[in-house]
Amino acid sequence: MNPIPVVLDCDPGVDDAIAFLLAKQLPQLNVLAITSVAGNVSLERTNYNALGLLEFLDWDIPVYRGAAGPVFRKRVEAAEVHGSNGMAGYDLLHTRSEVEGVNAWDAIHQYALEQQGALEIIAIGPLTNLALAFLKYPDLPQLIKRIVIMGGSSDAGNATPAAEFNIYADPEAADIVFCSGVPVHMCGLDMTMKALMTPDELDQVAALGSKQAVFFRDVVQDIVRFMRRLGITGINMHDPAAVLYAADDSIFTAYPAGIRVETKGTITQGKTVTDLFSDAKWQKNGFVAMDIDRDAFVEKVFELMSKY
Amino acid sequence: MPKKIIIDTDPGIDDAMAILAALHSPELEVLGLTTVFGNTTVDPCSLNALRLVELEGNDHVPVAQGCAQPLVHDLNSFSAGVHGKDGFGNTNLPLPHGKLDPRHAAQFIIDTVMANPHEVILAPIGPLTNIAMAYRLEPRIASLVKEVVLMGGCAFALGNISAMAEANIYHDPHAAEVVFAAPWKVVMVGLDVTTKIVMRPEYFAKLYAAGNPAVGLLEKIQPCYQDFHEEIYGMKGAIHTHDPAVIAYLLAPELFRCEEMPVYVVTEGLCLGKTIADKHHHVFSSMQQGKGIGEESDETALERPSTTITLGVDEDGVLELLFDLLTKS
Repeated sequence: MNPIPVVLDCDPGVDDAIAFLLAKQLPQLNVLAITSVAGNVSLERTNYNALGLLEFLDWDIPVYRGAAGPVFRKRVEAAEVHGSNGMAGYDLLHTRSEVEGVNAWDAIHQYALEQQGALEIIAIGPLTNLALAFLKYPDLPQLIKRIVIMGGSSDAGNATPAAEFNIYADPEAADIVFCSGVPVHMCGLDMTMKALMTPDELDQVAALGSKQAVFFRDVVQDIVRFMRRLGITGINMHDPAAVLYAADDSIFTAYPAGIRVETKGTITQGKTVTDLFSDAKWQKNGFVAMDIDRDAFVEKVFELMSKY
Repeated sequence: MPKKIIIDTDPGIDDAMAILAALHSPELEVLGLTTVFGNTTVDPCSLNALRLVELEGNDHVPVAQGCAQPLVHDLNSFSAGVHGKDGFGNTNLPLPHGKLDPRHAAQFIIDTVMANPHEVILAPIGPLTNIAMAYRLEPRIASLVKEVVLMGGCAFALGNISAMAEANIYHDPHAAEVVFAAPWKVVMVGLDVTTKIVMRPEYFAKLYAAGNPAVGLLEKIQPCYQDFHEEIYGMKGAIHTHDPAVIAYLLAPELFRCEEMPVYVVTEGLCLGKTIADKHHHVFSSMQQGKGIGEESDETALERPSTTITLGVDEDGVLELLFDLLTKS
């Protein structure tokens, strides 16, 4: 089978970095390009980190500059989690400093045209770039096969009691994407909170010995400490789980659902409203991943990381 | 000493089961039933409450009628498809003989709590309109009520009447917000546990075989409820056990696993009627400083008392307990 042509839309970000490490080694994916967006940290930082990660991985694909902030609102970020530079203080080597001269939304449209309906998007940051692409190009929904996002939660949030960070960071954009007509597969906290790697498992990855494997463990250590404050031992692999889902969903459980985003609520803005089985019976516009075979996930991570 | 309870109710098929179970328990003294709109309009709910106390000679238990509509919203969607227009599966049973207590439900609650300080447990199993009204009319009841054990909400489970909301809270979200913010002990028995307690056709068959008036009534009214669960969830004659779970909690709280956290009720938008349980309040309040809505909600969070939320349940234990109560002659 031919690998799936994808654009990886991201805001690196520590767990985005891990997602890069895995995406490069997944035979099911052909990552054509990276599009960056403001999210975990500012756009300048996410661009810089994306370029640095590609160079670190010796991965020659283009980076397109995306949106510097949400469609309507003030930017929020998660530097408390990812470090002020978004990479837990790591400054990756940069000899290549320039991104492409085309904007992310234009690039997405161009790739979609070239792939003639086969393109999939993996979006692991706020959904601003995709929303802008849909607003600018009305033909785009017909050209994209599937969107896999890391974002949302059918129950509780992490940015607020109700909302998950990526959706909370740009709720209007997220609602545009869910309503775009392209099936959206939501890899949210319901599933990613179960995609946990323990400190021991991180050490085992590092013991594989490559510089990428050591980086894998070291870059997440601040988050491991942050998670301990929440009473969780280890790190939730939010973005990497979404990338694995896009490549092969066989270790995941997902259900068809009607999905919208609350954009106005006083305490609920940014919450994904997922109708899985209520009396309301919303029209299905996507899938919500609810579960993951954690042990199979960790095994997959080892398998991919041992390729370095 | 039996526990003194007032059941605030919108009977309702599962309300009937809860009330009959409570009336059968020597460990509970039902001081009264107060009625509210919800499963249907308040008048048929009151008739049903009277029918229930008369069924087995409990006519001395007063029934006081309460609110016919939510505090703020218009009457939205009744669960008429679930319980029938008469609240009892459209069985149109003969009228009861008894009369309603002349007082409004809210007044009945206030009078009863004031007369039995620190003894009364409020057990609301419908929309929380009467409870919020009683608290607003006489705030002192907050410190004089022993606890409020309610059926409603969903902390981490999804909704039933809408994607995010449980029906009792959805029917009057503002009243629910008053109840969760008030300074009293609230136990929330919501969809997190009630959808995990499943009564199956075999269970009903054994139950009905007991042949007492209580199960006789349930056998008449239950099919409508089973049909609804089949239509929406494909449960093939099985049902979720909502309101009776409150009675099980009152008698055997050890069958439930609980956590304490503040609860907020959403009164607008797509999440109308959702109960938000603020699990990580302390951690996220520091993360959100100066960042918009997180900051605002945290200020009120400091003031808000924690609710005891039932999150786990011993299904077999609850089913057995209810079976034993309902089959008592």
